[in-house]
Amino acid sequence: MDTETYNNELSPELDNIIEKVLRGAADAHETSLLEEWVAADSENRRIFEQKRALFEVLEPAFNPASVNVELALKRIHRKMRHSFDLRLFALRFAAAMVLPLCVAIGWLLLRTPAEAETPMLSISAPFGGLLQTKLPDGSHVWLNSNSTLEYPVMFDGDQRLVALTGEAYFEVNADKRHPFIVRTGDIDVTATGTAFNVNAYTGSPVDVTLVDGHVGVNVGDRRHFELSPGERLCINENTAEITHSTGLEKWCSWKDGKLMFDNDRLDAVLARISQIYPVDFVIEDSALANKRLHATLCGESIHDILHLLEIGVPMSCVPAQKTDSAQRTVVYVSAPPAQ
Amino acid sequence: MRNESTKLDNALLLDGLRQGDRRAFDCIFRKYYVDVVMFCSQFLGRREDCEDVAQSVFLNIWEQRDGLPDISNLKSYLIRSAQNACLNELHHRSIAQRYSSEYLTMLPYTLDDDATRPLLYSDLARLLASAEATLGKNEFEAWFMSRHKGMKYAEIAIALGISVRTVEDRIARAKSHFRRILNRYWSIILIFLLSN
Repeated sequence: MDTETYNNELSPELDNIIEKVLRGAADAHETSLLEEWVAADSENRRIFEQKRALFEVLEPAFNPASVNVELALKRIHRKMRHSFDLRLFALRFAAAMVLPLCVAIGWLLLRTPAEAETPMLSISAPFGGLLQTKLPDGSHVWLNSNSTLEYPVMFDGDQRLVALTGEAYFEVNADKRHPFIVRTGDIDVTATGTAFNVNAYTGSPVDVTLVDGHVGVNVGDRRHFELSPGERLCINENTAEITHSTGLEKWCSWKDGKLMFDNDRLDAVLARISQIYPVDFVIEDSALANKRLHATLCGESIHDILHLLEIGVPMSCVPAQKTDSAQRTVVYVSAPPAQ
Repeated sequence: MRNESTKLDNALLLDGLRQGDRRAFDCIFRKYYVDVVMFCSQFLGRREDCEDVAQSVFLNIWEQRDGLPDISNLKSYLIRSAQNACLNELHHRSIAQRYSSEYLTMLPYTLDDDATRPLLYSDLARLLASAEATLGKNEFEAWFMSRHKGMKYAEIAIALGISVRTVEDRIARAKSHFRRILNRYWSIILIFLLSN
C-alpha cells in the first residue's frame, strides 16, 4: 500500500520524464535528471524498475508474437552444423589434397628447369651513356646508349639466352654445351665463345660484327648465316649481306667511348648519332646527305657534336620546337646560309 | 516448488549442454529465446537486430559448452551475456555512426552487477495474462488480437468491423487497466515472481 501511495505521489513531471526515457525520447538533461533520482534512493530505483518492467511488457519495441522461435532455432542449427562441418571439411580437404600435392611436388622435382621459370633482369643504358656489366656466366657485355638487355639471374637451361634492344658488344665465355644466344626481334645470334657486336636499334637495320671466334645468325627460321672473324652482317627488312671489313674498330669502338666515322655519308653519321642521342634529323638538302666525313667523337655532348658538324661539314642545324610530351628533338639539317 | 523444479531443470539442461546434447540445447533455446530477444529490445529496438544478438548469445553457449563457467543461474547468465552483446553492438554503432558514447549512459536500466534475478519478459507476460481475465470483453478482444495474434490495428478494425480509431482506444484502455492493476499489486507480484 505504501508503494501505491508513493507511486501516486510521483510528480507529473517526473512521471513524464520516466515515460520519455523509457520511450527513448528523452534528451540528455532529462536522462541525467532521472539517473540522479534513481541513484538517490533504493526505493526510487525500485519504482523505476517497476515502471520499466510494465513498459517493457505493455509497450514492447515490437510484438513478441512476431518472434518465430522455431525459425530462429533452425537458423542456429544451420550455424551449429556449419561450425561442425568446418572441421570435417578441413580434414576432407587435407585428405583430398595429399595426392595432388604429391604429384605437384614430384613434378616440381623431376621436371627440367625452363628459362621462363627463372627471374629476368633488365639493364638499360640512357641516351648518351653506356654501361658495362658481367653476365651470370662471366661473359662481358657493353651496352650502348638507349639500349636494353634482358637476361636471367641464372643461366640454368641448355642455352644462355639474352634479349637485346639497341646495341651491345659481347665477349662471351667459352662453353660449347651451352650456346650463348642474343635474341633481337626474330634474329638469333648464336655464339659459343666469341667477341662480337650486335647493333639492333629499333627502326634501323640490324648488323652483327664478329671480332673473334665464330657466330651463327638465324633470321626468322628461313635464313641462316655463318660469320668468320672480321665479317659484318647487315640485315635489312628484305636483304641481308655480308661484308668483309678490316676496320672493325669503327664498329666496336663505341664500347671504349669513341664514335668513329671513316669516310661515311652524312646521313649514316646522323643516323648513328640519333641511335646514341635522343635526336632525330631531317635532312632538307639531299646533296648534303651524300657528303662524306671522317670524325671521332669521344663523349661530347649533343650540343657540342652538332656545333662541330655545323663547322666541319659545313651545315646548319635548327632544332624544332620541342613539345612537352616528346622525348626526342627533331633537328632540321640544311646547307649553311650563303656567306 | 516451481522454482525448485526450474532450477533442477536448468541444472539438468546445463549438464546435457556440457555433454554436447543437442536436445538440451534446443530446450534451453525454446525456453529463453523470446526472453533474450525482448531483453535486447530495450537496447536495440529493431527485431532483426535483437534476434541476431540473441542468436549469437545462444550460439556462443553451444560453442563454448566445454568451457562454460560454473553457471548457478542460467537465466541471469543468458541475460548478462545478452546485455554485454547489446552494449557491444551499441558501442560499435556509436563508432560507426560517430555518435558520442554518451548514448550508452542514456540507458539507466542496465543490470547491476548484483542483479540476481532479472524480470524476464515471459515472467511479466505471465502476469499480464493473469490480468487479462479482468479486462472488459471489447478491450480483451482487441488486446488479444493485437498481442497474441500479432494483428495490426487496421486488420483488427476490419476483423471486428470497427474503426482503427476505436481499436486504438480499446488497446489504450486495456493498457491503462493493466497498469492500474499491476501497479496496485506490484509488491505481491514481486513475491509471486520471486517464488517462481
